[in-house]
Amino acid sequence: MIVTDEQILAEIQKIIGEHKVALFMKGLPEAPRCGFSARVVGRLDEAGVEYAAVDVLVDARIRQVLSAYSSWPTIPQLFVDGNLVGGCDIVEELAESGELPAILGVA
Amino acid sequence: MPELEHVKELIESALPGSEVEISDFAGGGGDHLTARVTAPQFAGLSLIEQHRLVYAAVERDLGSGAIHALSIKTSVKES
Repeated sequence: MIVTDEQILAEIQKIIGEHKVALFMKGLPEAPRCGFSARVVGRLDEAGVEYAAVDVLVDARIRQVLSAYSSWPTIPQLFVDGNLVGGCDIVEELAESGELPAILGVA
Repeated sequence: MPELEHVKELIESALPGSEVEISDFAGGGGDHLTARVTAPQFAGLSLIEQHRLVYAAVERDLGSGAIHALSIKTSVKES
């Protein structure tokens, strides 16, 4: 089956629209394939939030389409209520400062 | 491999008046970098917007894969 970039974008928008918290990462939460993705998974688990996770390594175009859509060049990318919160550095900074649970809606 | 000094210059020229410190966090390979950036341009911006300014400065090196990973820590420089 041929999947177009438009279909990938529609799928990305569907995921961030249907889930309060959505994480685009390398690998999956049970088996992250990048240290940065693993760190964000750790922070989300620590906060005790439920989230949707998408493995961008499944198809290289997911990352291209996602980065063009979000204007954010790197993976992982965390979305809450459809808005980009940030990558690993920002998530860690928000976790350290204690702001993350409120942003995730689990404070 | 990008020179740390080169990355520092890219960010400093994109954000005049900024103070930039680049370090290598993956055993000296030169492609996993940490940038600590203090810039007056960050005032009033969200973290996302601050990081976007830094990414924009090194866009070419990130896109080409010369920098595999860039960890960013921003703070506002008081003028």
